[in-house]
Amino acid sequence: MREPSKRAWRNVVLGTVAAALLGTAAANEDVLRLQQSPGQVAMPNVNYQGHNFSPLDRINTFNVRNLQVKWTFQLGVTDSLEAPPLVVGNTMYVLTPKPNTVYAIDLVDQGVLKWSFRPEMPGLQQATACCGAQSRGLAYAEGKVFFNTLDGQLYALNANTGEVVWHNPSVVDLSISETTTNAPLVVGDNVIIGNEGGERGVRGWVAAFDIDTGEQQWKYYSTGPNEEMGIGERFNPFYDADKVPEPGVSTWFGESWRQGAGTAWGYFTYDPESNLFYYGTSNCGPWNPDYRRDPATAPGLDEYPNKYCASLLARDATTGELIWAYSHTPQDPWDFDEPGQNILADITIDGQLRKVIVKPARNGMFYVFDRLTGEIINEPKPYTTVSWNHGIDRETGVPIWNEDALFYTDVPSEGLVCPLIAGNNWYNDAYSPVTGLVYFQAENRCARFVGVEGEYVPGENYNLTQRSDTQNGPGGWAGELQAWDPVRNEKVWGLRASVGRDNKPIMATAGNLILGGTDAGLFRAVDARNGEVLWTFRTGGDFRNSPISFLGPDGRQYVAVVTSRAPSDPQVGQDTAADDAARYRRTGSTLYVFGLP
Amino acid sequence: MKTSVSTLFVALSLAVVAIASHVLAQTRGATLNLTTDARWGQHLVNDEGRSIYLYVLDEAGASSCVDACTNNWPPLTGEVGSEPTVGEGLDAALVGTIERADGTLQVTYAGHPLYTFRRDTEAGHTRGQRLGDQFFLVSPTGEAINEEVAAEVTTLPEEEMEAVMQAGHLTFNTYCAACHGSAGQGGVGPRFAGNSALADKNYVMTMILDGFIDHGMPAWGDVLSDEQIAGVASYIRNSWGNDFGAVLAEEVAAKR
Repeated sequence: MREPSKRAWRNVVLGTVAAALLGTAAANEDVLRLQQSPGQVAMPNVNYQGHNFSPLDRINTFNVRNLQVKWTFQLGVTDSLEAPPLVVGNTMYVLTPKPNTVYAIDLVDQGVLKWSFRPEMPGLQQATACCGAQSRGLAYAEGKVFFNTLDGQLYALNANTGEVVWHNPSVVDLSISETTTNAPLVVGDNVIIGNEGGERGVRGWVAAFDIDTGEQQWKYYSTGPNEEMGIGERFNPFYDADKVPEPGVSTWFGESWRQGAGTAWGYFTYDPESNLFYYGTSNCGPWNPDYRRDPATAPGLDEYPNKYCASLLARDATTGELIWAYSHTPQDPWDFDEPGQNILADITIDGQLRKVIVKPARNGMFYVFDRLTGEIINEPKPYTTVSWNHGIDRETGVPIWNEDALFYTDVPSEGLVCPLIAGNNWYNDAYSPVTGLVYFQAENRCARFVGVEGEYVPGENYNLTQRSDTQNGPGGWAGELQAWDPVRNEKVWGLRASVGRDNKPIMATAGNLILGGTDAGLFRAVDARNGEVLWTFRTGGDFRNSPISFLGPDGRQYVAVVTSRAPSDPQVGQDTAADDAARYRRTGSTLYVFGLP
Repeated sequence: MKTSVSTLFVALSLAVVAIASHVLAQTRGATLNLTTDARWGQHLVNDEGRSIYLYVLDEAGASSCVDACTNNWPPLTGEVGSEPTVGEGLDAALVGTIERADGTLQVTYAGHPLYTFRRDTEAGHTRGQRLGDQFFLVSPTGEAINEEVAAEVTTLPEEEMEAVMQAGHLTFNTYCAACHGSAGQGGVGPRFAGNSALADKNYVMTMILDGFIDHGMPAWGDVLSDEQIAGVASYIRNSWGNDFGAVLAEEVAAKR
């Protein structure tokens, strides 16, 4: 067990050291140093590459069955807690959903509270995020903890005391109900954040702030004129469809790019070698594409691909410039946001070492990109039922459309649209350098879509679609934990949900464990090599954040996870089935810390 | 395979329709009639009752809907030498024709070249209305229709409505207020006070019954009765300045 993991870890360390020696690393040195310390968790998804992988292996496939609760901590929220905790030094940092509170928990004494910070949130009434009160993580660097409140404040706290170092009272426009829900990323002297509001016609952006002063360095949009998108001489996308003048304007009908969404509410990843950071943008707004394309020529899929919502963007982390971009779902009418982390890996394909992005995308397709150029280097394959395309044209990078999935105002899609909303939503994925596999929770559902008429009203819901005939896709499953080999470009194993969909964050460890929760209310450890369930623990709650693993002050390995429930989880009614997932997930939020005896 | 077969079927049926309308255009002059739509009032239709549209980009009596556009918006054409006929309520003096680039004659009304819409598959459809703010139904005087006539609102006797509102208020406080705010001001969920989306009762009922689970709205179909859903739907549609009329339990039952 030890050998392969050590080797894998050494490779990661060597790669980063090499980058530092080359002098190209604009990464934050402190964040890099913490990432190289295997017992620490300095950022969501553990490292810049978004592996969500712990190099610890003292808890492993042989002894995980002995795992037991060491201590718990009550967080007191009734909402969905989606932020993975951080561990820096001997302190764990936990961010709760609104009213956002940061807890610093001392690990030396079984989780005693060191300090807590709850900001005033005057904008809470207007901050109506699409799907509940999400906040997806904290960032740490140089003795400071950074986070966004739901109502668009950006805080830097002293990590030791909880005192405010600086505070930006509003990075959003609350009058259009713009919010911030994503986890910040620290690169160099910048803390980079993005906005939320794709369901309310909010135009997406990312922005950087100085980590010491809070001063805004740059802000670039996902749509609009070149100068507002950070498109200049360095913009060099791989496919012809992106080599068009003013893509953020010319690919939209009229002025529709102004409400075109493409918000940046998901996880960021960063490549220290190239100094590029990567993120996916939200659905296009409104979902009804009749408001974003020319009615004379609709559907006009080639003419109005609506760049860059439902897309993957690569930007320079220092300057914010757009370097390349790719539309996963051009003209996205089906809510195919791409918030999941773009996993960065160096893998050997056809005998060549390739620097890639691995992305089990929300639109149901499994992609491997060259992360420097944006070229798709695999044959993108569906990992779940996908009805909206017949594949991706490798020459153009554009999907081969199935017109049966298209819909119009008052004209439903001829066929079912699969996946429904997400084949793999924001829930953290994981990549294990030990097994070389990518792990994610796939969903298999379908529905029929129809467009409805409406007007943009600032701050109000701007979807203009309805759905019907919601059902599981073919194959007899609704959710499945999948392990994919990005080299062979195929699924290695799958573990289907016994109830519900198991659509929740997961993480991987060098002990060959996949850790995460299920819709049966179980926290579990699964063998990363074959999908065998090795250990379960029933909490009676739901699992909305990624587990973490860390070394305690006693030098022992621990696993932590918070149970919490989403307000949108289905209700338990009189005739709800005995094995319905809703019966296993009760309201409440508890931090569990597990360890070996 | 299933999808491709149905695509083929759709393609074939479209082809049949296309041939049929082609034959019609060849054998008769165009006819313009007037119909009354509950939402849009009086507007022009063709001899089969299909809605007629004008295109705001057409200028000086010329059609700018060409090529791919004519697939979506077939021009209303007439036969050379055959005057278009107009039905009651329309002004024959406003009718004319223009010659299109392909030599066909397109019927105009008040100078606007006229079109039907491919996705209007039966009489009564107005699916093209206001699309992209560029295609509009045509009024008897030849203007683009942009205003709705007042929607019909279900009203109950005062006492009955009061009881419905009271019951709805109770249901609202128990199940909805936590997210939508006790005064409908919104919170985690959308604001209801002054929210025009509530005017569409089908939308309201579907949302409550089926929820929108990935976007924060639970499904209440298994939890609440038809009466409770009708009550709470009526309550939110008629509180805080909203005035959209009642929703009946029978309507909810029909939606299930």
